[in-house]
Amino acid sequence: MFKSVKRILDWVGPYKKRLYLGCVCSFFSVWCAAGPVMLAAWTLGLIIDNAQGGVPLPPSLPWVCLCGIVGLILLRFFFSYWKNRLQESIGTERAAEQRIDIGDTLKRVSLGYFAKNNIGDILSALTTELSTLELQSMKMVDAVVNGYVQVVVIILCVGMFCPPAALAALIGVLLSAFALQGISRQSAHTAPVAHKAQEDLSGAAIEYIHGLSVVKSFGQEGVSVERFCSACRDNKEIRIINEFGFVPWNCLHLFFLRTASVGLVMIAAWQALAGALDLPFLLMAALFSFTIFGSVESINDAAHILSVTDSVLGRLAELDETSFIDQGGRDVPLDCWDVSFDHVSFSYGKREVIHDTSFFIPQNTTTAIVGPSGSGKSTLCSLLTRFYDVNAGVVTVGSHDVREFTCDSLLRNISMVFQNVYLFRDTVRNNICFGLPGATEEEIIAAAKAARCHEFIMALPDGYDTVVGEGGGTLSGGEKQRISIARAMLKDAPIIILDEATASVDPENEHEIQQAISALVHGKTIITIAHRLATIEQADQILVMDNGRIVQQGTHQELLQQTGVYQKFVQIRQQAEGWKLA
Amino acid sequence: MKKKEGWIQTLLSFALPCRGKMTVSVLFAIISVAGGFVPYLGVYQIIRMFIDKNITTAGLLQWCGVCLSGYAVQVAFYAFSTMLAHISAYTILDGLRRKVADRLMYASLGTVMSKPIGTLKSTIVDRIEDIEPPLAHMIPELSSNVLLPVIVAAALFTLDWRMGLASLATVPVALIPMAVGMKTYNSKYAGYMAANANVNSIIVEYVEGIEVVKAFNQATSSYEKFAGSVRSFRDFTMEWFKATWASMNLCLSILPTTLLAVLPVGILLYRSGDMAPAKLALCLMLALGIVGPLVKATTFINVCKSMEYAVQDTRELLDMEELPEAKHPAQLHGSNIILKDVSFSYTGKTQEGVLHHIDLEMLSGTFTALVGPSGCGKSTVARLIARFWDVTEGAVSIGGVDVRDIPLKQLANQVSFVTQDNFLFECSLKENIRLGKPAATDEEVFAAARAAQCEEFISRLERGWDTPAGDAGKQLSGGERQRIAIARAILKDSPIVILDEATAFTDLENEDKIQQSILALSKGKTLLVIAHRLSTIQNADQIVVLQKGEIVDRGVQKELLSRCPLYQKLWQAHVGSKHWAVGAEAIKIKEEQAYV
Repeated sequence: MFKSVKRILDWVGPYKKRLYLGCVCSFFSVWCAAGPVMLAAWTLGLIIDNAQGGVPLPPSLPWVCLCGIVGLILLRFFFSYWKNRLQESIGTERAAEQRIDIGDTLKRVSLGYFAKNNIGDILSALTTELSTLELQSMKMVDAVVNGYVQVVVIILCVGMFCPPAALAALIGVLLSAFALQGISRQSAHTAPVAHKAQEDLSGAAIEYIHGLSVVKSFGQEGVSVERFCSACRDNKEIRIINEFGFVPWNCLHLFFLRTASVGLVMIAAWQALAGALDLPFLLMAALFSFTIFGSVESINDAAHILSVTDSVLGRLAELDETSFIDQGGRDVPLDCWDVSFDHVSFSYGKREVIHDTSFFIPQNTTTAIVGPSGSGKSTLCSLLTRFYDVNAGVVTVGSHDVREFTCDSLLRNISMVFQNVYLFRDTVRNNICFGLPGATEEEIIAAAKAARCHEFIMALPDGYDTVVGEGGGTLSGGEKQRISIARAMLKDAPIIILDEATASVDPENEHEIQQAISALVHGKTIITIAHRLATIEQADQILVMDNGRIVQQGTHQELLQQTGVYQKFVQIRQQAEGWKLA
Repeated sequence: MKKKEGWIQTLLSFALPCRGKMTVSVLFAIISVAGGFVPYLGVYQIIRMFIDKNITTAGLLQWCGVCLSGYAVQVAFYAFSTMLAHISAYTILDGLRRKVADRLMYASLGTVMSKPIGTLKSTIVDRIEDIEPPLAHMIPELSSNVLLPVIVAAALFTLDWRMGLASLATVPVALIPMAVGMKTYNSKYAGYMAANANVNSIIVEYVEGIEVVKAFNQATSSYEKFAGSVRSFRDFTMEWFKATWASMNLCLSILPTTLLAVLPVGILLYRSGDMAPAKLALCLMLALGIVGPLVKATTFINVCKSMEYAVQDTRELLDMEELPEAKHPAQLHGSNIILKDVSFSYTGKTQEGVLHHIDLEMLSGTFTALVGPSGCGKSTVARLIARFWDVTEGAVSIGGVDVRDIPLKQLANQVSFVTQDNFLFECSLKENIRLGKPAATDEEVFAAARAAQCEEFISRLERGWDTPAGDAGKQLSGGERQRIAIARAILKDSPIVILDEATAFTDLENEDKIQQSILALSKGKTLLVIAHRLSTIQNADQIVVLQKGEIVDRGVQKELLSRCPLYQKLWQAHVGSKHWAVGAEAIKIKEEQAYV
C-alpha cells in the first residue's frame, strides 16, 4: 500500500513540492481540528475543579471557548483551503500533461507502432485510466498521507501529557497498518481473479447476445444459455469468495484501532489513578479516544483503490517505453517517384515474411501485386510506407532510402486509399478538405464529383455541412469509402497504394467506387494489391508473390505463357467472377 | 422527486429475492451500531467514577472490558452484516443478469438486433454491476451510518434538550457556505460532464483516426486540436475546483466542529446548575461521536446518480416486450412461402412504413431473388419470413400456416438464414458445425464440412477439428468463418434457405470456395436470395424488383431486361463494375456496357 502511494508520488514528478507543502498545511489543519477537543478537556477540568474545590470559574469562559473555537475553525479553514489549493488539482494537471505527452508520442511514431500496440489500449490509457489517476490519485494521497499525519498529530498531543497512552495508540496504528497491508496483498491477489471473472462474463454476454440469432435460428437455445448462466454463477461465487477474503483483514484493522482506543483510555485512567496524570488530561484522552483513529479507519477503502492506481501506473509506464522509428529522419524533396526494393528481407519478430526481394517500379506505371493470402503482399506496401523498417536490403523512393525521410515527409508522397476509411466527426466538407487544408470550395466539389460522392452529399440534410456521425456512422460503407477517395484525390500524391479486397465492402455501390478510383489513379505511380482480372490485365507489371518471395514477374500476357502460380490464380479468378447460383 | 422514488422502489424490488438475508443484514448493522454506542457509556462511567472519587482498579478494568466488548460486537456484527449484504448483492446481480438474458431470448430478434451489442453487453455486465454498491453497501452501511448519529442525537436530547440543539448548531451554519457553493453546482456539474464528453470524443478521434491523420500529413494540426482540448478541459476542471475550494472547505471546517455550541452552552448550563460535570463530559463525547458517521453517510449521496441510471437501464431491458408464441406445433403442407398484402414499419405507424402491400409467392423448390437499390426493403422481406419481427399488416405464411401460429422452434427448423454475420461459439469447430443438428454423428459433421469447403483449412490448423473457435478465430479469415457457418446450415438441412448478404463476398481471396459451399447448401431448396451481384442470380425462377418498399416488377431475367427500366439500370451498373479495371480509361467501361 505504501509502495503504491510512493508510486503516485513519483508520478506527480515536478508537482512534488506542492504536494509536500500541502501535507504541511494538512498537518496544521489537523492541529486546528484537535484544538477544540483540547479546549473542551481543559474547560471540563476547570469545571470539575470548580465543582470539587470551589475554584471559581472565570465568568468570560463561555465566550472565551466560543471565540477560541471560532478562531480555530477559521484557522482550520485557512489551512485546509491551502491544502486543497496546493494538492487537489495536481492529479488534473499531471493527467493533462501526460495526455499531451502521449499524444505527442503518437504523433511521432510510425504507423507500425499501432500494429504492435492495440489502439484500444492506447485509448483506454488516455481516457479511462488517466481519468482514474486524475480523480483518485490525490484523494488517495490525502487519505493515506494526511490520514497518518492526522493520527500522528493527535498521538503527539496525547504523548505530551501521557507517553504510555500515546504508545498504546501508536501500537494500535502500527498493528492496523499491518492489517491494511493484508488488505493490499489480498487485493493484489484477488484483483486479477475478479478482473478475469469480469472479462469472462463480458465474453459470455457478448457471445450470448451475438449468438442469439444463431441459436434461435437453429432452435438450440440451451447451448448458449448454459454458458452464460455458468459465467454469471462463477462471477457471483468468485466475487463473494474475494469479498470474504477481505473480511478478516478488515475486522482486524478495525479491531486493532478499537482496542487501541480502549487501551488509550485505560492507560490514561491508570496513570490518573496512580496520580501521575491530571484529570483534564485524562478527559482529553477520553475525548480523543473516539475521534483519534477516524482518519486511519477509512484507509481500508483506499487500499482497494490504490491497487487499481498501481496497475494503471504500471500500464502507463509500459506505454512510455516507445522508440521512435523516424529519429534522424529529414525532409527530403523529391522530383522523381521511382520505387525500388533491393534485396529486401523483413521479419515480424522471429518469423521472416519477406525473403530477399528485389523489384523496380518506374514512375507513372501501374503495378499489380497478386498472390495467395499470407504471401506478403500487404507487408511489401507496409515497408514502402515505412510502417516498419527492413531487416536487410534497401527500399528507395526517388532513389532516396526511405529511412532518410521522416515519416511525415515520406507519406507526403503517398496516398493509401483503402487503408482506413475512418471519417472524423466533422462536416463532410472538412473531412474531404483534410486531404488538402486550405482547398477552395471549387476544389472540394470537384474532388467530390470525381469520387462520385457529390450526388449523395447533396441529398444529405445539410449538404456539405452535414456532420458525419462518429467514425462515419450515418453513411453507408460505400459512401464513406467514396468520401475517403475524395480526400485522397485532394491530397494528390504522386504514389498511390490500393488494396482491392477492401473495395468490395459495399457490393451495391461497387460500380461507383470503381469509377471513383479510376479518376484518382490517372497519371500516377500505382501499386495495387489486386484480385480482379480486369485490373491485373491492365497492369504494366505484375508481381506474383508466394511465401514471401516474388516467384513470377511480368505482364499478363507474358505470365500466362509460363506454367506456375499465376496461371492457377487466373483460372480460379475466372471461375469465381463468372459464378452464378443454380 | 417522484422519479427518485421510482428508482429506489425498483432497486428494492430487485432486492426481493434476498429479502430475508437483507433484513438480517440490516438488523446486524443496527446491532453493530448499538455495539458502537456502548463505549460512550463505558467511558462515561469511568469519568464519573473519577469525578465522584470512587474509582477503583477493578471498576476501571470492568468498564474497559465493557467498552472493549461493545467494540467487539460492533466490529463482528459489521462483518456479518457486510458478508450477508455481499452474498445477497451478488446473488441478486446473478439473478438480474439471467433475467435480462431470458428477456432477450424471448423478445423478437429484430428488436434485440436493433440495439448495438456493445450497449446490451454493457447493460448486462457493467450497468448491473453498478447496482452492487447500493445493494451491498448502501442498504446496511447507510442505514447504520444514519442511524448512529440519530441515536446519539436522541441520547443528547434526552440528557438535555438544550445540549441536543447545541450539538446540531453547526449544521445550519455550515449550510450557508454549502448553499453558496451548491448554487451553481448543477450547472457547473453539467458543464463539467459536457467538457469531459467533449475531450473524450476528441481523444477518441485523435487516436482512432491517427492512421488517417498521418497518411494525410495532418499530425501537427490534429495534435494541436487534441492538446488544445485536453488543456481546455484541464482549465475547466481547475476553474471548477477553484470555485468549490472556499465554500467546501469552510463547510467542512464548520460542520464537524460540533463543540462550537456544545461547549459554551455546556458551561452555561453547568453554571446555572442544570448539568453535573460528569454529564457534561458525556455530552461532549456524544457530540464528537456524531460527526464521523454523518460525514460517511454524505459520501453515498455522490453515487446516487449513477445508481439511478443503472437501475433504470436494467429496468428498461427487463420490460422488453416478448414475442407472442404459438404453443402447439403446426401442421405444415410443403414449404411454399406466401406474403399476402404485407406492410411493415419498425414503429408500427403505417406512414413510416418500410414495406407497403407486398404480395409474393415462393413455391417449394424454386429460386427467388430480391433485387433493388440499397434501402428498398429487400432484407426486411427476408427477415419477416424468419420472423425477426411481426408484420404490421397482412400475413406471412409457410406451408399454408401463418408464421405467427408456428412455434419459433419449428419455424427455425424450416428456415436457414445465412448472413455475413458468421458468429462462432466458444467451442471446438466441430461442435460449432454440429450446432446445426445436435444429434449428428461425426461422419455427418465431416460430410457437411467437406461440402462447405472447410476441410482444407481445418486440416491446416494444429488441433484440426478440435481447435476452439476462439483460438481459431484469430487464424481464420472472414471467408473461412463464413464457410463454417454455411457447413452448419448444410448440416441442418432445412427446406427453406435464405441468403442475405451471403453472396456479397467481401473476402475476395476466398471467393471461389465460398461460392462452392453456397451451391452445396442451396441445392434442391426453396431458395430466397437477397442479391447484391446480379450475375449470381441470372438463373432465378423469379426475380422480384423492389423500390421504396414496393414491388415494381417480377419475372425471369430475360423479361426484366426487356421491360423493366430499373432492372436494366441495375444490370448495367453491375456489368460495368465487373469489367472495370484500375488504370483503365472510362471509354473502356462504355464499351462493356454496349456489348451487353
